[in-house]
Amino acid sequence: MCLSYTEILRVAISSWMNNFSQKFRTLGWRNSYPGTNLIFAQELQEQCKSKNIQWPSLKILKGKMYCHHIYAFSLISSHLFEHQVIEKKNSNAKYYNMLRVSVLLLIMDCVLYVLVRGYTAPEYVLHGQLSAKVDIYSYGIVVLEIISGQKSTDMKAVDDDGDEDYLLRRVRNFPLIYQKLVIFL
Amino acid sequence: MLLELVDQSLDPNNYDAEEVKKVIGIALLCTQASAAMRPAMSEVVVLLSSNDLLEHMRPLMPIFI
Repeated sequence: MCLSYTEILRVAISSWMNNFSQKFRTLGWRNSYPGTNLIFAQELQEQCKSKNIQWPSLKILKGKMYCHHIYAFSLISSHLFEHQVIEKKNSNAKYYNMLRVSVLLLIMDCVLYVLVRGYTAPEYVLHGQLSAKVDIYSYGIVVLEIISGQKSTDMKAVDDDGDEDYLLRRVRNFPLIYQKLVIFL
Repeated sequence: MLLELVDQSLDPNNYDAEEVKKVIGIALLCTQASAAMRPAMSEVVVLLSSNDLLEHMRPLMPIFI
């Protein structure tokens, strides 16, 4: 099930890269990795508002990232459908492009979701490169799950500030905190 | 610090802290963003069975974090 999901995403992304890379470059999308997607989403949301285009709010967008990734795909398809309905109302080419971009941004969000939380290695999600190293990545995630007794999809409090994070991010942050403490002492 | 990660339901007397650190370190090596930087499974086996090899390997941060 996970395989078919990533496969679909891969096709969606490669078509997006071909059709919209130029557009995204002009909008300030610096690289193909969705690291800054929420800041970018905000920017795009404002642009959509000024053109009276329906856009899922950031809160909903973030909420969707917490959902299970198979469920997330059904959300994408429902949004594709919604946007197609709006698309028929406004036949303007500008609106059409904007809607396509917003739908694809939603897909990119779900890619980020898979990258940060899933068992699948990033290069397979993004480029479909399958090798033995993809399994090594999955092995690493499973080992971390066994040690911590938590699923990689669970959110847990990191510190007193109440910041929550996923398992892999949390593990990655531990050595950093440790280094900072050493410098401080 | 790494030991805060360990399952709360485990009794701290029942596991060796150094071994847990070693296994977490290996898991971090395995989950690097660059596939070329990840060890092969045979290398993982060697790392798991050795005690001091891991000190020479430092995992890099993934791109997405």
